[in-house]
Amino acid sequence: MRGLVGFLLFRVLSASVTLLGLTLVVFTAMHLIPGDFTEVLVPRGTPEFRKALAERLGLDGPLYWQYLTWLKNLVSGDFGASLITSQPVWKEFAGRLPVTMELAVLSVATSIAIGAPLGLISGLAGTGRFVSAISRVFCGFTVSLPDFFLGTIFLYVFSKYALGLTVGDFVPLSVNPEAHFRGMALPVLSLSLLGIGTVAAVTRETVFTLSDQDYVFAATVRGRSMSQIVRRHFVRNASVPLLTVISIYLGYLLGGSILIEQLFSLPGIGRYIFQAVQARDYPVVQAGVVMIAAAFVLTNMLTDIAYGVIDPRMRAGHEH
Amino acid sequence: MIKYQASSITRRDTIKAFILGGAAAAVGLNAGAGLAAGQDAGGSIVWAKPLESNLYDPHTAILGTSWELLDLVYDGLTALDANMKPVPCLAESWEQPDPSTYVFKIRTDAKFSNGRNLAAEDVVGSLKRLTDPKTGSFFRLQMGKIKSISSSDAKTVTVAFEEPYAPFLSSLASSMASILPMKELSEGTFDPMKEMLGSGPYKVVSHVQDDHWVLERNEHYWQAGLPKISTITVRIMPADQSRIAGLRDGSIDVASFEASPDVGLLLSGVQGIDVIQNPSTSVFYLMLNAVWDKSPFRNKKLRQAVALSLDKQKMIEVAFGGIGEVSSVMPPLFKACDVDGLQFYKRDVEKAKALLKESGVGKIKFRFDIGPTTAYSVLAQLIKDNVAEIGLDAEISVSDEPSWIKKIWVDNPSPTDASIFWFAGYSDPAMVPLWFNPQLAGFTAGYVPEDPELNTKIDRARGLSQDDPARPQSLQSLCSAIDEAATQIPLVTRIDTVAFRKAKFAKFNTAHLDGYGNTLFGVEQAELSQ
Repeated sequence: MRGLVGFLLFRVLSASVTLLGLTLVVFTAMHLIPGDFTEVLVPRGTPEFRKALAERLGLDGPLYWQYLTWLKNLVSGDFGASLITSQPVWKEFAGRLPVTMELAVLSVATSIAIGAPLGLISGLAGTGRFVSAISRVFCGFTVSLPDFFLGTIFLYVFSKYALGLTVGDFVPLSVNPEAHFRGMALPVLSLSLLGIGTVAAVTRETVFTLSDQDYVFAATVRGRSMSQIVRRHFVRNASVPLLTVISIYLGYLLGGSILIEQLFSLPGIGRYIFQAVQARDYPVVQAGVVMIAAAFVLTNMLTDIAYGVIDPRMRAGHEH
Repeated sequence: MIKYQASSITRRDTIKAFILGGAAAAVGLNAGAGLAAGQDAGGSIVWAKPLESNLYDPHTAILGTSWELLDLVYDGLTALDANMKPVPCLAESWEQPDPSTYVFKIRTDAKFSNGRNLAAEDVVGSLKRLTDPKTGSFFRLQMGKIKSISSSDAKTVTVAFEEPYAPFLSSLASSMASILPMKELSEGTFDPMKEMLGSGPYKVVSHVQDDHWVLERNEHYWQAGLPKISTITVRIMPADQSRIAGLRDGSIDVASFEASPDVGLLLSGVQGIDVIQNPSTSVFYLMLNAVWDKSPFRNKKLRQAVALSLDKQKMIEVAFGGIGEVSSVMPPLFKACDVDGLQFYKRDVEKAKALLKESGVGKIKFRFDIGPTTAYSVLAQLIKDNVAEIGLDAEISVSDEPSWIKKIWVDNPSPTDASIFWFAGYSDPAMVPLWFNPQLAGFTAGYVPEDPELNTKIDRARGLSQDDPARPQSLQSLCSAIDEAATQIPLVTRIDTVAFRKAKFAKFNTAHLDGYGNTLFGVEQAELSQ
């Protein structure tokens, strides 16, 4: 028990240090890139006016002081206010987070729904078969194709030939569910192609490896049906590597949806952060990046903890 | 009126917000929910535009993407008609007792959208705020040398100048010279940097940054029975293809497009739309840095050689799909500059080569910094090809917008050799030449050198009234001097595109000459089909 508590504390502490380091990196990077908020807002204003504006917005103090003030507020749950709208950042994020979360969840679900059966079929087909070759090519293609590239192609094709789907027309679910999903389909497909390829590849490799195991051979000899073998051995054993891949993919989606949201005019946090970078809206960018990173770190931490709880051997490294 | 309240935010507030956000996701009450704006008898339209309007204060808003929204919410003393002539707006009339004095009669029926009557104090306060250096308005310079602004009674405002200033009535028509509710501003109940409150046809009822605005009819608008359309939802949609798709499937009624190589071609495949490309006074410029000590373009002959190498007609064909006109500093619409009299306006490669030789600079490589806009990239590539013909090598570098803005308009000297940008041309030929006086303009000081002779010509052209017989010659002389200076070389006019679904509108006449980026010009008169 003490070992488990120590393991958990170590994971929480290392996650906190990672996040603290990240706040420093994000803050420094945002303030070091050329063009500050006042310069973007009023580039043709007088230097005196920009100075007065910086004072008014609290951007005139030494950078270390601005960082410490921001960090103090962040720890107490105050993300600050957007320099453009003066709205609290949490309020801006709260309205947009559901869109990004829906995008991420739908993309993961699509990846599993398509990728896992594909991987299974391919794995069961074994090496050297036509199905396996096609599967390898498909996985390699989908994993290497950038989502924004695919999104751009979708945008061009579907803006010319609607084919029942819409581009750039986000309709809230509560207003019209059908129109909502017609608008979400292409962004989800753009984002899930990477997931489909990854899930299919991991499933295929797992199934392929398991096929050579003695207990699978024994189950076959005992006369178990293929569906029973798949259920009892393949699905269960493939779940662990799939969980790892999906947790990483989910973290990627929270940040990786930035370009897709921008491309398809989806009102999510990714697009909001992208625009905020262009406008040098520091509080929005800083809070957004920290939030995405925190989600990523938290997901990884929970996965680590889950491993530690499930398999005590995973804690060995920490205990020794 | 939208109002943003600053408050102290606790951790509990933050957690609550995300829980509420999560709950909202479940029922679909997310960021776009405001798009389901209600409709009434006048109907509603959806206008999709590519860029958000980040600048709310009319007096300091320098970007066209903000002007086009401010134009719907605010009014000025004057407006421009479809032929770009100043007409009464909040001022129902005016007179000039002498060339340096204007006396305006303010409308008695004008109100702000909060219902308060607009008074002479609002006009006086707004003009004083606009021209006060502390406000930081770059448009202050376009208001002339004002000596005094005063009101003699509740409806009379007098503006006196130190010297005659011809473009004044045109300047007043810009959204940057909007009349603000000064009572609320001075009482601290209105902050123009955070909210909009004007006397224009519409008022803002909701806004989700970088996503959409919802504007509703201002029931206190001074033009009886207008506007006819009740609600305008403004959607921010960066991708041209998304707006085109929206026009095609009917989810968007009006879409605006920045000048680009292929927008006309892309729109040509969409059925049932009208495409408007209004003549404009906005002009693209090639900047050659004549201030930075590392720039080769401090050499005037080299700048002139570059000017002569440019194939501007090809720029129109390749970069803008044939839409636009070759321009001097005074765009063709003004009919103020006879380009045949300009020495460095027409392409002449042999003369350019000779000038390059005379300059003594030799065949050099120069740094060409541009912003992240498709039009800039295409223009830069064409210019690179043009100058290569005379032996110069342009090294194109694309930066993100803030970095580029800082480099060109904030840093002094500008740490680059050349760039491209565009200026709105406003509504009088004597207005934009002011940006060639670096001391007054300020933001051009990083690359335009002081030239007392040119400054004198600028001052003279601005001081002559429109009907002064000496004005044409003065403008021509100024046009020639700017052509010869070749620091900001005018290229071609910038024509934006507006497309709207024909079936949606019974009446919508957006055709006009454009000087201030008023994209939805005339929308208050528009009527929807039944």
